[in-house]
Amino acid sequence: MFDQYAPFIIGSYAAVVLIIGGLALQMILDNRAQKRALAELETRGVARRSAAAAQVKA
Amino acid sequence: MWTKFANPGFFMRWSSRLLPWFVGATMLTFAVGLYMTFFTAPADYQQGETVRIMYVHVPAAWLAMFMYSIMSASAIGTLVWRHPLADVSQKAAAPIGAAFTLVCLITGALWGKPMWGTYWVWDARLTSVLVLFLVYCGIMALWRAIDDPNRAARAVAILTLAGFLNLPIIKFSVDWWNTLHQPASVMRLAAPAIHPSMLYPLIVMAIAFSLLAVTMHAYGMRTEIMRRRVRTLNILEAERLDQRAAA
Repeated sequence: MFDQYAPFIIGSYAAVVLIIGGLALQMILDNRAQKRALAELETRGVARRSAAAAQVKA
Repeated sequence: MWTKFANPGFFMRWSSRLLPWFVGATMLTFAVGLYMTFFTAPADYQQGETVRIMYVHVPAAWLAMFMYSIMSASAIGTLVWRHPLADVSQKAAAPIGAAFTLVCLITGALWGKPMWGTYWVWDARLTSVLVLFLVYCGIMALWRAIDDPNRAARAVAILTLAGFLNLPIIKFSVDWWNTLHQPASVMRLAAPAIHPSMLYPLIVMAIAFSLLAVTMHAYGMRTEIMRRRVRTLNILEAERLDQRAAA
């Protein structure tokens, strides 16, 4: 398959997987880190003024 | 009215509902596009099997410019309306655009070697795309260099709009100068100069790449909104601790 050009074709698709896949993985890890940080702050009782005001009203 | 919709809370609610659908649509379109690329699209009569590189190289090139256009539109939102969602959109788009530009450069080099006999030439198209990649890198560095996200957004917006001048240079470089790179085959005033048996897989792959980029952009924006909330809450906590210590 792909005759003598196989290294160039496979290399191109591998580059897509590595670069876009690597970025996607980094984005997922970053998202999880931010979610964890938000959850930790909430468990410590830190809330934005607007959120705190809404809780008081409720 | 649009400010009602363009606020972070509204965006977080709707993006969480829509993202799973976008992920599904992206995967489905990639499956169809890759099947067409490897099983239905023929080899080119001149370029042989290497034409299969086109199905990732061309969409990556389009997305490299599309993401920069999104960043430029967001930059206007930052400078004119100082809208926080525009800042977030700008920041989330940069790494995605840079990744697609890098894919375009690498796949272009891998396509160039067997067809042109060289991985790289300093012709107008290749050089202007390299400049685009360097601009993306500069923008990401500037985001990291300024602590305050609002100040960083304004500085980045100016740099982004200055860099926008490069987009028409990329697009028309093959018409304005003698380049080794071929002229436009799909996006041109006349009908596409590419046979439907190759055009349709290319269009499906372009849709797949676009869906992927939109999905990643929305996901990145959600992360950035959370990062800003974390930053705000950390500052609030520090202020409260200071007040308690003073009392």
